[in-house]
Amino acid sequence: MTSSVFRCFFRQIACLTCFFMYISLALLPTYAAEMPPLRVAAAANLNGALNELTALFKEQTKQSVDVVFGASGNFYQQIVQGAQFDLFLSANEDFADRLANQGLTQGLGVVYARGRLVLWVSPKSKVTLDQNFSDLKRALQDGRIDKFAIANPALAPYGLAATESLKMYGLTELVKPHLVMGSDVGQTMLFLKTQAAPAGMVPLSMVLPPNHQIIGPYTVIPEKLHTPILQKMVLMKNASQGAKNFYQFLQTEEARKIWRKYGYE
Amino acid sequence: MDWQALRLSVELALLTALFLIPLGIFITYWLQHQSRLVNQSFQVLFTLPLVLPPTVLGYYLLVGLGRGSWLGNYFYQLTHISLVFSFTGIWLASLLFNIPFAWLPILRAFESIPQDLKDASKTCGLSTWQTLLKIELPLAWKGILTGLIMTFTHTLGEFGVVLMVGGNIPNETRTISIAIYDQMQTLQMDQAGAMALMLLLVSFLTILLTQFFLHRPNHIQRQVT
Repeated sequence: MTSSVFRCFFRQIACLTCFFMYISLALLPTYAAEMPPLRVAAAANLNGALNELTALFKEQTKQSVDVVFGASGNFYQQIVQGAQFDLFLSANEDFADRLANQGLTQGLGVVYARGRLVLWVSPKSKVTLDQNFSDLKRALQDGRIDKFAIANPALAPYGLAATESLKMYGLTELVKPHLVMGSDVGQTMLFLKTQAAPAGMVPLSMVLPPNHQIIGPYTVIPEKLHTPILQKMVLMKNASQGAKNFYQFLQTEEARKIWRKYGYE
Repeated sequence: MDWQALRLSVELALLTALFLIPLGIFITYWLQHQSRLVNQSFQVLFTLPLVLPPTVLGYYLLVGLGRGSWLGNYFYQLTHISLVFSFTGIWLASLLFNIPFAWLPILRAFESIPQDLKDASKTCGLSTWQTLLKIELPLAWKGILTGLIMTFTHTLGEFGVVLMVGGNIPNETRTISIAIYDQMQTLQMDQAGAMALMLLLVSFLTILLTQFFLHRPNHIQRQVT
């Protein structure tokens, strides 16, 4: 009797194990003999430009690049804690410099792009963006704009630039009750794209035609109103030769053309 | 569809479940033979992840196992494996986070075995080890199976603690739930939708399968009737 009980018991387990194994085997992708992809951590504003650049790089060198987009400050934390990346493209100089100072990088990095900030409003809100934002101020008071989205200034350099320029415009107090913060530029864009927030401050690269994540009236914020957004990249200590090639590639004239197309200077 | 993320999730869930089930049986068995005080304190400790916010566990894991901590640093020097923002890291987090999901069903199943049966098996001259193998495990198999399925599906759906301890690194820590979140953040709604549907189907099928297995009569019951 015991042996039959045992057999049945183990048959159940064996059935289940087979089922799970089947699933995992079925999911194994067919690996081609390829170089392992480079692992790049990139500020969320690069979503768009960097996708085109990695596609071009792959076309030329057969080397594929895995890019993770997120807030620069978040990646800084992760890298300090031991996250393994080949290359880090920050949205400012500070986070890249701090990694270099801690000896986690190869070299001091290089500024690859200069970003610009825009103020965007949804076409549905019917707000006109005039010179001194008088209609925007009215809209914040009469409820046409009930939410104003920016990225978290502690983690995202574009969020910091947004708070700085709001202050220069004297809008801080007016915007404060309506402020919603995305964890990075990507989430801020999600708020705008899903109409959860009818207005906000986001990178120029997100609203320009090659990317066109959102469509609506926008105005580029003068650079003198915030700390210039100098975006720096650094090679991490254990970066492969492929990563070094990609780092060089991002600085070529060919790459610069693409940067410019997406609104970087 | 991010197949890489799905495969990673299944691997993580399998590794977690297959490791935790023997551990769950061991814990249950070990606690039975402890004093009331020890038993109660460990029950509280092992049930804690059930109510603990994932961020709390994530915080302690980052502080305790990160490169800044002596443990994380020592382990890295030794093996060159980072205990955070790596697959090992999210596996460790999953193990801790899933203890109650694997162990509680097993505990309940063992508790429901009548003392008479165990006494009878002793009287028949079976050793403790034989009693476990021949009496208790076969009677508790439903609990063990439930624990396995719960752990597997719960790990598939794990989000907060994986994001905190693992970040979002492709083919390392980007599990399927993180991939859905990432695709939302990068405004790829269609892809996120496809993956969400996939996860919904997998979860549904798993529960269906569990129901199918669990509602079959026990072998001992079958033989009695």
